[in-house]
Amino acid sequence: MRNIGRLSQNLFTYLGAGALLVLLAGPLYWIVISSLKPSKEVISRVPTFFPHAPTLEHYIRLLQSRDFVSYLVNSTLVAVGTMGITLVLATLAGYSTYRLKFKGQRLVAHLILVTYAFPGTLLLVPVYRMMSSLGLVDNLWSLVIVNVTFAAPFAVWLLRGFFEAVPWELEEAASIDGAGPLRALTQIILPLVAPGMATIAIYAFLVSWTEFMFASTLIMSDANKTLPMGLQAILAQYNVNWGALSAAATVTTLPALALFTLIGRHFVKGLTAGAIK
Amino acid sequence: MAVISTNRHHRVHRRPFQWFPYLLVAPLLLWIAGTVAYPLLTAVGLSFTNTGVVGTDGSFVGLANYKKVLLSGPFWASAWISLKWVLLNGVLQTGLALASAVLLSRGFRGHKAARTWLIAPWVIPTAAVAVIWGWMLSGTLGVVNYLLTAVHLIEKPLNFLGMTSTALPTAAFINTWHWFPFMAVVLLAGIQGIPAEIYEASAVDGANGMQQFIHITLPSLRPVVSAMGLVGTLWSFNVFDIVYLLTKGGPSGATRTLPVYIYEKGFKAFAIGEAAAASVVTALFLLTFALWYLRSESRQAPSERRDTA
Amino acid sequence: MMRIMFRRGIVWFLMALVSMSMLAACGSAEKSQPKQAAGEGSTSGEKVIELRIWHMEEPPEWAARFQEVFDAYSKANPNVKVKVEIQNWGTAWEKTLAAVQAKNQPDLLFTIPDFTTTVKSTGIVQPVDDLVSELNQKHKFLPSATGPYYYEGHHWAVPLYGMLQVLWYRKDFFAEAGIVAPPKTWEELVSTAKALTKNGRYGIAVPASKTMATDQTIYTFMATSGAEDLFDASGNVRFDNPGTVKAFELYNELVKYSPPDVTSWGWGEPRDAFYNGSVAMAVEKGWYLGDWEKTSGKKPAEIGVAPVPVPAGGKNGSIYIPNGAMLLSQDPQKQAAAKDLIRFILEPDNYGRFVNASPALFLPLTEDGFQSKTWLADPIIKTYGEQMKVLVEQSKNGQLYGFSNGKVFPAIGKISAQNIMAQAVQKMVVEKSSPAEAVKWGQKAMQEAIK
Repeated sequence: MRNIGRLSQNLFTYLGAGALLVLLAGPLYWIVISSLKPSKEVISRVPTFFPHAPTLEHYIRLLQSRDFVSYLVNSTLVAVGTMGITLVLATLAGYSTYRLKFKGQRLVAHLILVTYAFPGTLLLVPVYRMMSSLGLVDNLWSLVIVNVTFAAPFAVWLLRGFFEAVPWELEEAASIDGAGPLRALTQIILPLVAPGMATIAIYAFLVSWTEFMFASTLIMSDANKTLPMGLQAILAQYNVNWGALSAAATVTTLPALALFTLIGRHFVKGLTAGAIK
Repeated sequence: MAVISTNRHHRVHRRPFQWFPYLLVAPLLLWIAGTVAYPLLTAVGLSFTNTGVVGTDGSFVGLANYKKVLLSGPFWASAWISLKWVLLNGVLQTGLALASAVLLSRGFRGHKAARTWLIAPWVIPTAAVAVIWGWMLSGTLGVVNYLLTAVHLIEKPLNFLGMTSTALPTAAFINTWHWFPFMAVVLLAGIQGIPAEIYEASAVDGANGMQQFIHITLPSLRPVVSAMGLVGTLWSFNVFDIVYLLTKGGPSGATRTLPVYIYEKGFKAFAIGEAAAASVVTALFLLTFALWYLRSESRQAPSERRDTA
Repeated sequence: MMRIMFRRGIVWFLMALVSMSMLAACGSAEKSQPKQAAGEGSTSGEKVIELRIWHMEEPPEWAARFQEVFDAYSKANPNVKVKVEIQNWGTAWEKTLAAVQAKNQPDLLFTIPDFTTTVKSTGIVQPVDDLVSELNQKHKFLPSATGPYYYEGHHWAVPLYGMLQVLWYRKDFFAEAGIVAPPKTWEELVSTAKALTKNGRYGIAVPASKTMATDQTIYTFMATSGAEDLFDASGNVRFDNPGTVKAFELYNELVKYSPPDVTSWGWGEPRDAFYNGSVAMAVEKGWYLGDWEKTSGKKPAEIGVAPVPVPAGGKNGSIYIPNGAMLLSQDPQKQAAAKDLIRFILEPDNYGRFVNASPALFLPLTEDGFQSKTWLADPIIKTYGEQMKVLVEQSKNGQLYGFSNGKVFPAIGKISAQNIMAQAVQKMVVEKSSPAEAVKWGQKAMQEAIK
């Protein structure tokens, strides 16, 4: 009986892994090999699953263009800035809203959601006007500001589950030990919600990384453009240079993957096990 | 409030700490107030005018735009499409994310690499995702149809994005592919927060994988899933770029969700006042939904939450 | 363990702080630069005029060639600094309107006729009558170039380059099927498309998506059947007329012999299909020549181009889109500099290089432009001499919806922005309405839109 159970569990695992592989890896593989095919092969009627005439021309052209590298740098700056500010704002607000007691707390928790109830396209023009009067048009800071606004509320909401999963007794235990609320927060609670913080850090980074609508409205000059705008230029008006687009998409993915590898490894490790002991 | 007891436990609730919570919440609130309030108010203000092209002057028309919007067939048609869109996305994304998270929490070969590569679809800018998927799904130029016909799953190439019956589900699938990694990462973090001892104890009691999933994993993930549920819905509802890029609301309006409707009203039909009114109405729908969701959620799990004011 | 975690958290936080201060440095650097350019601290003591130009030709090669001409001007006129900001057509409308509202608009804005009608409604566009008549004297504009920009008694933009549609066909597939000459009439077009639809290949690819591509192509057929006037003399919509219905009937036939996913195809996909041999014909603008050899693997002589077929009793025609530049600045110095730049661009030697930003797609629209040595010297233009002849000929027969017959109807902006003609085509092709019904629907929708 138990053997069949284990067999079906393994079956689920491997079938599932296989399906996930196809779904995930399939398109990614297609993108990467397309980036290595010359233009003629990329649009050929019979798709080739391995490049017949592999070429690095798309990558070379991409990385040679000064513009693309600057797009990469700009996107990174904006994303890191967004991530940093969001982490601070959301964690503080989340701790306060979900673990402390103050009047109007539930209102705050719910008010935060208001930011998402409004369809965004209509905010484009007023936001532009606001940034313009602040002198922030064509400045990367305006993107950081907008991105944090979009990322932070969700980040706070997300932290709720993590904050509430930590045992309530801990703060009281801390105060018995003589720790003030700030120390309780930084030394005891924060390490325990670290997985949550890592998640929102990644979230904020990626919200910023892929944001196009506001970036394209607020940034004017080429020197300040971000990656999604650069990608758009390759898409251009008439047709798509599939090879170049695939190469650009691949290059865009790599820095974010690197970040995830770095943070993911350290934070998502189930440290709560330690706290409960 | 005079100090009655010297019990140190009560120190946590004493007056001197009152400013602290507000201090923590203030930065975020001020930030949002500063960056959202003004644009929001402008948009609401526009909804009461008959402004056509953005930037031109319009005159006050009271509730005329609201009347127009609420009586307009296309508005409700789009609302219906949006509803379908949200449901499709909710089911697909949650299902896929949950399955992936559970899968990745097990130790199969290569699971560490999979955890990293999982986020790749999320990271590719939306425009590229839309264009590349559109290309892959193309009848004549796409690889998906080629593979499907090659293994005889279908006889003739399917025009996924160009047929009214398949356009919306296909767009929902592509949107899911793009965004499910985020939910999967969150759920994975949640699963990893569940102490291994609980699983071990249940295995000793004779529970199999499915039972463990239903009785341990799911309940433990409840707070996280419910947090994602609400905001995920709001957020999914307001997705604009990927739908517009894929189909521009076509074919024949089959994918014209409310955000697409609003964008076209404002920037293509040059009736920004009406578009603003439609936005306000939409926001009210969503807020009502949010309130309902929160209320029913607090009724269901009062013991999990601390008593809030 | 916890202390390590904490330390790492601090590291990340510090990183964020560092990048934020870098951003701040970038921000202030950006802000200080424009001040420099505006004239303070310039070494020669003479005031430097900064001219901000927005154009929407994003492909890097095209933008680079434009930039060469702009740089040449800057070199010849050191007191003018040309600052180009490339925008995306998809967001150009919103961005321009937002910029105008914030008093942040560019000095010179490239445009197409219906974009001009929208921007003009904000009151920011400056009339350029003197410049246009001066340049017309010198270089002789095509009537179809200036016409769409002239209404309410003024010229609202200076035309710079034109685009039109022709019939592209694959000579190799024609030869295979024993077809010697390209179709000249609508009947021939349909029968040719039918004959070439076999063995997994399609005769033609006409877009049927809700995009400008579809608008332009259906309009080209309308132009040949005498239905090019969307409005009558008093400004009423006359979309529903026998000529339009005939064009829709033809389109319906052509879609039968097109790949099924044309309902989601714009400009790019028919070209890819043409290049990779999935279809034998297409109706589109001149950019089919540029990548032909490289992407299809065929020789230049094997791509055929002909005027768009006409119905019985119809006339030679095609859609013609003159791209121009609008003057938005109210500063007299900047206005003078902008006008000077345009004069520079239209000088035949500069003009040839300018228009070759996208050879064969961008066509000259002045008489001496067509003779420009630099234009004719471009490798693509030289290689495809035969094909270019057709394109040049057709330039003289162009029309544009909403701007035909000497009259301009600014309301067209609302119709083209919503792709109503494309939507009518979709009604017919996707929802299977009859051509007549679809056209009726289009008529109603247009009337609604311009109310």
